[in-house]
Amino acid sequence: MPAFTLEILMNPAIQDIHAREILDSRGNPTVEVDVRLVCGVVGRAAVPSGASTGIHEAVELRDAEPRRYDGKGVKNAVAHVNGEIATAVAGKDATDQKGIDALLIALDGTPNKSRMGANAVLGVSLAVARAAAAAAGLPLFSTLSASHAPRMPVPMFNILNGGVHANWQATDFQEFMIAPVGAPTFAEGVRYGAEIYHRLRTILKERGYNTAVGDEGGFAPILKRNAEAVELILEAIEKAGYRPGDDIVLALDPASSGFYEDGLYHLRSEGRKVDAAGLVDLYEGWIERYPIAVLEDGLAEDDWAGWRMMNKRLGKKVELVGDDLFVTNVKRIERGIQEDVANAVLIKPNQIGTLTETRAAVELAYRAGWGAMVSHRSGETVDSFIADMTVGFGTGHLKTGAPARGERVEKYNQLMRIEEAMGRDASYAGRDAFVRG
Amino acid sequence: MTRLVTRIVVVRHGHVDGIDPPRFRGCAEFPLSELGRRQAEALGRRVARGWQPDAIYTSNLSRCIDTGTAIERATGAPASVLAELADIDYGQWQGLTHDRVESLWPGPARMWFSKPDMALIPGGETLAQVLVRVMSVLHFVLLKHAGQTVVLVGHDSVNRVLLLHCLGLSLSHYWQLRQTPCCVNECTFEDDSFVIQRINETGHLIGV
Repeated sequence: MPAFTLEILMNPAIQDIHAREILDSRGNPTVEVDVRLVCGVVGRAAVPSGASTGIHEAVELRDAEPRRYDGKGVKNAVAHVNGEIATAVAGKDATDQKGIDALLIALDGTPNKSRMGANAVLGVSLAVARAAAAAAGLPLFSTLSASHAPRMPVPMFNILNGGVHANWQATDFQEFMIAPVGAPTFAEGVRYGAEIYHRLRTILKERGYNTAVGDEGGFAPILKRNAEAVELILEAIEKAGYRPGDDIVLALDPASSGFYEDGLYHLRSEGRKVDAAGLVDLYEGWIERYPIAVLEDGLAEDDWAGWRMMNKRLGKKVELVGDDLFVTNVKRIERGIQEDVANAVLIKPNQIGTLTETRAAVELAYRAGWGAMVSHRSGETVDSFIADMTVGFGTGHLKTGAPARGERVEKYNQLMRIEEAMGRDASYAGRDAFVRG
Repeated sequence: MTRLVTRIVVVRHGHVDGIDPPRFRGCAEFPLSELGRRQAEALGRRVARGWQPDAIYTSNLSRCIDTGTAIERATGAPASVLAELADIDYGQWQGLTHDRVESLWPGPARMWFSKPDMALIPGGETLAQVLVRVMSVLHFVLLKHAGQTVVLVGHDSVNRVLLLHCLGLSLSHYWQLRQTPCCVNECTFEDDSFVIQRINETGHLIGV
């Protein structure tokens, strides 16, 4: 019979760490990490991977060995976890997330995690948080806190895709999202979203469009115009029995760095190139016509002057979210606040590499009166860490794809579990999710 | 939050030789007697009939380990030793009969039987110290086994202290609870409070 003392059974020190190479939703390798504590609990986390990545993001270490996974293997990142990192963190208290993350950052020693790989570092950071929550017998979301009270987020369903997510065959803009702000609860919001998603599929089918889904579960039909995407979605909302602007608002992620060439934005589907002001003209017209509440990456990642102009023109009307511009990096967000270029930041843990730095980015946004929207990546696993993190940090909204594909819905499903567990304490963000709009 | 009910089934080990004449056994090893083994088997069947435990924890003394093993066999739940469930440390009294202790330490012995909460056993533990251990065990169970059913296989002393704590009674009531070998007690923890469901149930031992 195994024998214990409470000192062992309650001990949250890290006993060992083991990483492995697994596949993500696109069939590419990624890092999964198990952190085992002395008390016996195991925390596991898998790292996502983006397709449209900002050039300022922390470095995702790939092996570049052509004979394995076309060079996309992550054996080196795995080896860093199982070697250097495992040795360094063994015996450390898993409940000291800040201390562990500081150790990981120091161990890597580079500003962008390029030595160990952000995929190695983040896997450890998130698995440690999971293990610490399990050791305390607490649900993960309740151990992740920021200065905003925990709340259930509005799900931002990406139901129509273009841009690089549709191989530039469809719209120039990458993501068209619906946000069920008028739903009374998160679970009802999911129902609204799923019903509209299915209605959209029917409409697309009726019009002869392809209804195959992209990486994030959204449809990627080859549409004739960018605005057609919005019009189809509005039709789907109404046919599903909901009121655009009241029950459902829209969000756009044009991911404009992807079509920014030589200082101009190349709208291939419209056969024209426009400067930042021209593109903001287009957005402004859309915001007048359509119930758009959120515009993410409206301009390119280094077009700071353009962003400043866009914020002046649109920042009072909609939430302007910076993704590639800020890459969840406090230094870039600080610059954004000083230069008044946006009013919200997209939060992707793998852009920066540790949970502590992710939280710092959220806190910085809150202090500036900005919004924070948590995001998945296009290459995901069924790991639902961001679902718990969104609730704990109280960010009020997250985007994690369409209400389809296992790796996408697992986040929404986890949020429904959290809402159920919170019972009457659960508070759905609704319209308060956004700083504007 | 969803209300979770954590169920703690507290049992005492089976009969050991050396119960008569009464003796301070404490941390000394006294293996289960033949009767004790039969009681443990009957206890295992009783627990399996009433509950589907998620885990069994026993004191580190063989009389509890063997009793816990019988429950493990009957229920299939994994059993582990948890050192904090050990019997009270009787210090210099350990292994001695009550008569012998009363003759050698008349004052402390009288205190033990009249005001056990105030008694200082030479070289041993106080009931307050036992309570600290027992509360650590309760914290552990409520943390790691929230919403589950756990069997604790303990001794007369730790069981009484645990039950008194769950009842909200002071340790001065120590002698007012009986713990028969292989008896069953059950308490549940719900809405931040303990409810005692049964104390010193022994029906399963009839005819053993």
